Amino acid sequence: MSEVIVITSGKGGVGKTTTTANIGTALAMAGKKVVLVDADIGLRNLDLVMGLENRVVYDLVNVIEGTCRVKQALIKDKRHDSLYMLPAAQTRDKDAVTAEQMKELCVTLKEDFDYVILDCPAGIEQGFKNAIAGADKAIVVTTPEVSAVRDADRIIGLLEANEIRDPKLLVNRVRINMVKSGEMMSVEDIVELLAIGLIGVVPDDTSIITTTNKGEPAAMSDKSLPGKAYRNIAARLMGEEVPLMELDKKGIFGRLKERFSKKG
Amino acid sequence: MFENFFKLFSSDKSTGGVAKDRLQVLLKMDRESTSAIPEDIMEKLREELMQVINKYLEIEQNDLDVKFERNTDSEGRVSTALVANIPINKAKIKSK
Repeated sequence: MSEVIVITSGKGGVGKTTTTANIGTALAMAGKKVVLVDADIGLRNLDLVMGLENRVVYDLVNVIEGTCRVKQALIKDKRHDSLYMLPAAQTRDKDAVTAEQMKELCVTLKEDFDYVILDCPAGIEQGFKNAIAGADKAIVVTTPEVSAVRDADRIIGLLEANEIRDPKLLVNRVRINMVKSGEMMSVEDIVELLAIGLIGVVPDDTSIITTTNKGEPAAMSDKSLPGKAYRNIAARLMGEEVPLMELDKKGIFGRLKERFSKKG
Repeated sequence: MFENFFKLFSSDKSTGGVAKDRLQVLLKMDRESTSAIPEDIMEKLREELMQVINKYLEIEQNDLDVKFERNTDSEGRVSTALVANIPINKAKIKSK
């Protein structure tokens, strides 16, 4: 049973593209057939984060306009057996395709892949509407910051209005020390505010910057804590029950039950 | 000169709590007023609702409160309801 998952947030810069790249990579590492679709027409970035920027020949708009076949536009990630990417067009804008066309594209891709993961642009305009059109499920990415949470809430409302009723929350860039000292909202706080199910938590970490610099998603690295978090999220998507990771690197608290609570 | 010294003892510690409190209030307000239903349609809906109610009860225009309520069930499924609040304690029943 194929799934089309859209990675969305409302707010820009919270980690949608990074999440798309890493969840996709992790699923492919687990043997699934995955295609990542960059739906951010005009501001393409997924290719860069994936390290595939030199291999772009055709793009999403070419496919939809019939300039080329889907298979010609798909870029195979040589590092993995079953990971492909469909880049966005860089020289067009978000009105170049319609929601209906995106929906049809998703149906086509579903035939050949276990997972179709769409990297949604920021905002709530046509780009967003196009990206969610063909989706079965959504992951809403937020960071523990007021603007991001507010925008995530709006997005949840819009997803529901578009019949995506069971979105999952991903809290990105958590700084556990700030949470412990009360200077950052905890994951529990955010889950309580947004009131949707949690799919995972990703810590703030320099390895995201360094791995993106190289174009090698962190999920491929054993040493990256976010990489591990993304692999756990992929496992949960596949139906496994994986407890939330212990984010306290110092391990002073030993084998705590994984709960992120803010102590006074 | 001693500012930095005293800052060591000041409490920036509960700003996370402040953020949460602010969001709690704000999200409630946001949810009541924003939805996928365009504002002009909401206006017409309110007007016509008033007309229907006014056939049977005389109420103040300002007493009709129509807003959105978002609910999430135990499985995380989100749904929105349109909620109309019509206080009838001051309303007069219209005699035919």
